[in-house]
Amino acid sequence: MKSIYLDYASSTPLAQEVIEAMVHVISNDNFGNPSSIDHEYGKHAHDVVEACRLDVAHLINADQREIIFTSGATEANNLAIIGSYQFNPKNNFGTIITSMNEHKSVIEPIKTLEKEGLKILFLSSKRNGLMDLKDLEKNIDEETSMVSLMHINNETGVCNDIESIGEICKKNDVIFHVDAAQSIGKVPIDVKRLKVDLMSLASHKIYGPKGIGALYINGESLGRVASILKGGSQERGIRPGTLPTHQIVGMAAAFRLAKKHMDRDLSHIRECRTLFLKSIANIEGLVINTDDASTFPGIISLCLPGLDAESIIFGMNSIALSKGSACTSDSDEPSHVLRSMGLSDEEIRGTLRISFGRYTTMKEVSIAAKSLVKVVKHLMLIKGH
Amino acid sequence: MEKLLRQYFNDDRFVYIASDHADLQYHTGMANESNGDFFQLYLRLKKDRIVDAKYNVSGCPFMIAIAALYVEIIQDKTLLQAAEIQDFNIEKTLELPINKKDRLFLLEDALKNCIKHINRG
Repeated sequence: MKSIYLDYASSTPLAQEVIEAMVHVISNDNFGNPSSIDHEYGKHAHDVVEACRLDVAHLINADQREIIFTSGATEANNLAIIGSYQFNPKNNFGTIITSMNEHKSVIEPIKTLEKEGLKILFLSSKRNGLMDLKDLEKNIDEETSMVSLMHINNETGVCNDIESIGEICKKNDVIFHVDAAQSIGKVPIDVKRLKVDLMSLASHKIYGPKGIGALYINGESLGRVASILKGGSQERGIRPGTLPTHQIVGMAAAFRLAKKHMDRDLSHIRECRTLFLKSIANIEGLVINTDDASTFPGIISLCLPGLDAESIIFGMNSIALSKGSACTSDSDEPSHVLRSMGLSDEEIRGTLRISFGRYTTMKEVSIAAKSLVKVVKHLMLIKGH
Repeated sequence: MEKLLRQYFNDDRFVYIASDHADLQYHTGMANESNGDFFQLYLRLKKDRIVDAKYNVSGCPFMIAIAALYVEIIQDKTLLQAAEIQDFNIEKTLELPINKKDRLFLLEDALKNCIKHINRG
């Protein structure tokens, strides 16, 4: 029996339209190198890529030239952070402000720069996972060069107020980078309105293929960053490497679909969340780690203190969900995000993440909720509760 | 292997339930880990023979399965026989991953603490 999939925050199945678009481009001899524009094969691939770039840009109201394709959001994050630092003349790049709630693909490159002598400030979030904007503003000074804060947190679903953060950064002339891997295509994003300088985008979180993403670089405020890869002039020299036409076609198809279905998807996910939370409301000791008002409805971070999330998941046989982020779930290390929010070791151990998506059915939500109730009852019985 | 792991994970035949068992005279011993795993053993003896063994446990799926399997094995054993149960039998039965083998120490420690409880009278 195939498991019920409730780990949409980790990755998503390909939309049928995405598969069809990719199969079409693969099957119709679109093998040309998009950079080889001296002949028809390359020109054709180039044209396909540029049309897709427009689709990607449209979703966030960006200009085509502001989209640089990468291998995914992880690379986009690295490019944004290290590329910004390397683009600036030596000694002209000051403090980076970020938080310990960020994805590892933001934290690790920042820590790498810290080892090179750059000053980094890791802000703590409030207990509900939200960044304290007063704290942020207080810590920006004349030495601050960049703020990197994610839009929707991959572990908790907490949604930072990037509009306000953008205003603060703009006022202080500080580069603002947003990791939007979890939010792109799920909530409206208008980069022209948001005062964002850099934004990392993923494809595989919205029913597109893995292995492709993009970095938005604000053409007016920044223009470019330094390349962190060497060996080519593709993507205006910012990201060398032959572009994968079929991957880009898949990403663009996913982005077009996301634009078309965003309201419907959001409404559906809200219904899933409401049903799930209602169905588990009587579980004793259950805590939702975030506030509803500031959380993307598609992700629930729930805590059963005193129980082991690994056991809960194991007991919920045939329901696919996770303890935390995919990038940390195979590690024994406690979640850095939950720790940063101030959860105790016991609370971190008892936390799991459930995430809904476009293809989640109400029946699946109901089955998962019943399964959780049953497993918790069993674990509490054997614990001696 | 997973079938057996799941079988013992779901097994609640020998779980100690206070509301059902509090009136019976059990000797008890507990062991716990800093990560929150714990195992509490309850024994009723006739002379030195375990006539009834029960437990409570909390932890990862392997910890829970280990506990259920161990308490199944020690039913009707003498204390000495229970103390001599080789870890590797449980380890082999459940194909414990290397990073879960330290959970076996909790069984040993709980039994030792139980015996201390017995000796205290």
